[in-house]
Amino acid sequence: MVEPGVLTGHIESYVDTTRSPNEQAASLDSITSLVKNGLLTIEKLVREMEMYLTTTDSVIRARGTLLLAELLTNLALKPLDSVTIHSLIDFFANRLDIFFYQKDVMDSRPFYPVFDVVMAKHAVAADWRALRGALIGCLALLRRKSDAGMVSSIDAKAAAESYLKNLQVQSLGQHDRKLCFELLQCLLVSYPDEVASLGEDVIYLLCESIDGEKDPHCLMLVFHIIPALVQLFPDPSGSLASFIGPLFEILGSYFPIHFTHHIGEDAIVKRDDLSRALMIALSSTPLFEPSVIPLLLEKLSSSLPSAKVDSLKYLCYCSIKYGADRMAKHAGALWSSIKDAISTSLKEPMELSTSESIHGLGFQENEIASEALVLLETVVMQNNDLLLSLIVDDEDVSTIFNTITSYGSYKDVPLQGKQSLVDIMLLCLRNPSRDCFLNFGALYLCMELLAACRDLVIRSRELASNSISAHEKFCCILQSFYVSLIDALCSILATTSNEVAHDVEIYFRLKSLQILATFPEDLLPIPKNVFENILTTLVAIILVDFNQKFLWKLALKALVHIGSFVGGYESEKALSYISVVVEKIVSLVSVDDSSLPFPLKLEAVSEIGASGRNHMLKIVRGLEGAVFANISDCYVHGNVRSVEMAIQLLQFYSEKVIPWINETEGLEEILLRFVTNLWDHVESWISRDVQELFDAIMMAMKLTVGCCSEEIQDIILRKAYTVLSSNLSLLVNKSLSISIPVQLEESQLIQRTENISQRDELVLSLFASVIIAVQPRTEIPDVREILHLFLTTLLMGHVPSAQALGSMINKFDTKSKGVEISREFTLDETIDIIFEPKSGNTHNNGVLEGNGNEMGLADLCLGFVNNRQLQVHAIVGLAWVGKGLLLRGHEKVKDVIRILLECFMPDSSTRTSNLKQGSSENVPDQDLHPSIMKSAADAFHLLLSDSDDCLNKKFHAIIRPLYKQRLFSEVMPLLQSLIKKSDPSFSRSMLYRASAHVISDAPLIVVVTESKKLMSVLLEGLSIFSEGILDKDQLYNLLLILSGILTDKNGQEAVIENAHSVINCLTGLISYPHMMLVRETVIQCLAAMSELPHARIYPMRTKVLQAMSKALDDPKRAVRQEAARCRHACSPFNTSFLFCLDIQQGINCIEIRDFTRTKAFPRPAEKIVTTG
Amino acid sequence: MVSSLINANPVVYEKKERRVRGAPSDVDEYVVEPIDQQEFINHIRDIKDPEHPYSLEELKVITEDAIEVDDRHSYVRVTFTPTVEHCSMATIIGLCIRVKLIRSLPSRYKVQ
Repeated sequence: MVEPGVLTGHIESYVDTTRSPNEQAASLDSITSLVKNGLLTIEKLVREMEMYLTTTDSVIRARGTLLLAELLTNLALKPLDSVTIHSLIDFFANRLDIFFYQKDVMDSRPFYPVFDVVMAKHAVAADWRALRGALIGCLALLRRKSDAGMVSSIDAKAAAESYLKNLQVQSLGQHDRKLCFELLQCLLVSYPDEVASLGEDVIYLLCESIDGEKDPHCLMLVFHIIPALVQLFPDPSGSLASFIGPLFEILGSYFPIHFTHHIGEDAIVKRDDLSRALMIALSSTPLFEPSVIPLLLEKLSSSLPSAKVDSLKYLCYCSIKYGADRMAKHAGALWSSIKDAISTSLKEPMELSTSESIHGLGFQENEIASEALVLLETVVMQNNDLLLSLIVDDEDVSTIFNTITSYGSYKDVPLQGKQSLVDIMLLCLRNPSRDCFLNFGALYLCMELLAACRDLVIRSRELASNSISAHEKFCCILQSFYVSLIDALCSILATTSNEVAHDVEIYFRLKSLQILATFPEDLLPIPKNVFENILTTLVAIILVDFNQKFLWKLALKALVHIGSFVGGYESEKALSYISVVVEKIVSLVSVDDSSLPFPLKLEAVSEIGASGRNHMLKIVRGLEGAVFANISDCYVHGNVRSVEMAIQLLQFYSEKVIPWINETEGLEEILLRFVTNLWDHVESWISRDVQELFDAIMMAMKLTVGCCSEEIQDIILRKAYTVLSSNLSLLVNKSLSISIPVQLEESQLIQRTENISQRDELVLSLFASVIIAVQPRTEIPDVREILHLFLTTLLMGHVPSAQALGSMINKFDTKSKGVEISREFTLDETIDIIFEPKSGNTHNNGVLEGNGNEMGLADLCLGFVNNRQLQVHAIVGLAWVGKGLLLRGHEKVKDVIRILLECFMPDSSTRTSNLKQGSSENVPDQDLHPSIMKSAADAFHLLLSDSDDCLNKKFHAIIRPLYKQRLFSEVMPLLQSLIKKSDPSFSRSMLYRASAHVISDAPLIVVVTESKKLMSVLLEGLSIFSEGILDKDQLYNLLLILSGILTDKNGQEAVIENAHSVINCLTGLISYPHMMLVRETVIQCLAAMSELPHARIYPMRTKVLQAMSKALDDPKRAVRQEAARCRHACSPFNTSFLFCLDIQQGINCIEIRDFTRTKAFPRPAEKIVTTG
Repeated sequence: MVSSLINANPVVYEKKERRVRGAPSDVDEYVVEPIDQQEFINHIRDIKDPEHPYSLEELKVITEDAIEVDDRHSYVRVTFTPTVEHCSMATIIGLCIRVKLIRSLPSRYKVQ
């Protein structure tokens, strides 16, 4: 139990008005928790509070009552026994009477053990202040749910009576009024029967209390109360009817809702919410109808747009609520109002619509019109015949024009309604002469009508319950004129190219044609010749009018729509579409006679192709023909002109056709056919050495193969292998195995390189492309032969071979499938063959075996053969093989790296020992050639960068995640230690080069974390790359890394440490002539550095500013702009000083002249020129 | 006490839409892009008027047409129109433009 002192303290602090609100709230909370936890009963509390509830001091009494009320509000969920509730509600209900204390109430009161003492001492005087507490208390008690103990209905009725008898709502303050309304609402919702039994007094009281109410919160409550009240008195001739007049007078004055002034706190009650509540209140009983509808119609003609929208909304809602019978008598007035609203609001958009885009021509969002249409729809639904007869009888035809076109597009309107509308429209259509079709309005109408008819038909099909037969009136009318309409449109379109037509007109013409052409066939059987006429007209536009972009695009779009419409099923139309459109378009590609630009041709082809499967198949076939015709034109007849076209066609094939086939199921045959065709053709090609075309063919081959399934790849591979083995002298010539005889003279090797004929190279490259693109599971025939072949050719400098070899190794399945070849030929073996031929090369025969001087790729890289060319090729090959290993995360990649690194060391121990063991007599003791070190350094770029040509996701490479990070962390320490060891010679710079490659290709985040260690390497790399033009992209990449470091907090520290050298390096790069982006980025980096701490940057400032003044005169605009920005960023170091100087300079050379006013400068002021 | 503003309520013109140069996609690395009026105005358009929080461009003190540029002879002449007659701030504005240009142009230019 609680000590009395504590409780008194809490009560005291709440009642004391001098305490802060926070303290009061805290004491309320603590009392609440006491009661909640059962430490205090209500009875005990009331006893304790006796003094505060009964004192003569009205302020303290008010606070006391409020405390009890607030406490009850907080305890809404705590179960209380019925006696307590009864006593409390009685207490509060009595307190609603502000003169309560003047009465001698005790006489009639029964005896309650707890409250008698409290209540007995009630004092005198009107008690305004205590009213709030009483209201809150009543509300809290009446809102209680049954599970926590409700107020009994007798008590509730008593409370309601007290409310009616005592409360003068109008005279209270805003908050109290709100509480009153809440209380009333609560009574109506929770105890409707009790309130109803009070009779019309309630309605009277409500009318009285809401009269003149202006507060939005209170109004909101009032609007909610009215529907509830109306429900209580459902009898139309009963007590409510007599109050309808006054009630409407009060409510009607609020419409339309309009806030006279905006107060921030009132934003809680939105205008829309309030307006909606009023709408529900007004429509709550049909009894309002005679007065509400005239009011709304009157307000509809007001000039305020929001009032119009509101009226329309209310009308719509009310007409549903009031019912058709009651609304019937207003129909005439309604229709004319709606008509006015629509016609006035639609006039403007008709003009605006000219600016609409291709994608759809609609009216601007027009709330009034759309609301009016919604209303129209509602009333038509409700009272069909009456309204329609009204509409039909309306003589105001021009208004109907506008109304009906929009109405016509309304799909939800009942069918009969639509039909008769169509009748009217057609009636109107017949009136104007044929010429009228040409003008804008008629065209627009025409299109809308057609669209409406089509939608109507399609929808009725969907509903299936009420389908329309071809004998319906509108169909007959349509049938009677569509042929002439199509003819007219076609002839206009055919001549459009000569005249300057407005875009909108073109749009309507094409759209109408499109709609007519796509009309359901059974309703509008367009004859074949007419349909073909449409198509020919459109195709003619495609062929000729390519200068008019808009027309061309729309025509293409219309064709595509028609295509997808007819493409769905086999019919006469589909056949004529194919014969007229598709074949014409296909012939575009293959015949080079029209003047249509090639890219547009391709666009047309791809769009039309997308309209249907059959079309695409036809197009693909035609495209293939064109591709091969062009390629052989180039390769066989040596026609250089076809090269460009062939390349574009191949690119189109790779970019559009292959993805499309990929998405569509069951079309792999096409891919197979393409590839097989390619292989069949290869034999007849005589290469003219056109590298771009060749690349395009290879890319198409790779993509095609990459998209195929395993089985098809298998077929392709076999085919390819057959062609390869029958053609390539290399494969047959077994003497060329992987091992290169050491004693081979340089001249011989070079000779051999030239030995590969261009045609052989073509075949080989294509074969390599196939190998690159196959899936890992596809089985490669005769692996050993192919491996040898690739090894040989890569040593001749054939890069695709190296890539194919890398791909093979990447995809080699370590746990093989059990096929013979794979069983005896695993990945490890393959690698052995590549690196150490002696162990793996068992079958080696011929001349070379006798020598015993076979060497692997590894040895070749290290220069055992005195042939630099060969060595470079070997390194490139090794890099690709290494990339294949790296991607799959194989251990051997370390060996590859070791070999590459050894290339940098002219006299490393490995090499010397190898030399001694090996054929030292053949290799003169020489320094490594620069080109070898350079290619070794560039090999790191190959290893780390993403390649488009091979070993990527598209070509099914096995890629382990984070391989770049792993390699980076493995290689960088090695490189750095090597750099430390090596003397400042060429090899050192090459090591820097290699490191720069590694840094620029590794992910930025890894580099940034290591930035402190890498800064010197990075800067060195920048200066190395800046030497030549070839490395500009690398330079740019590296620079981006540096700027990335600059933006990172970690990286900034590293930069601050090396500030001097960084700035030196950057200022050196400002004049890099080969790439604008480099200069721009350098300046941006410098500007970013100006934000670093002054102490470090300040000494370098002059240098930066000097460099900037040079950059300000850069030939490129972007660079100059950046330079100006950077210069401004740098100068604030000593703005005051610099500015003083500038001002001094400026004043010396300023002279003010007066100019007479001239016409060129009409403003009445002097022109002042600063002159130097 | 600071004397009242010379032109307390200047006409503020709308800022002209900043034209974005259509960047040609594959520019030749070595083509020289000459300095032109637009580039100049970009440098000086955002200078604030000494007595109003508006930029010179908004007040139409400077316009693109009032700038003569001759890139080959390294010559530029900016004519500006103060908002009111006898604007005491004219020299200051002139100075601002001058300093800004000196800072933003290559040293070969003589600013007039």
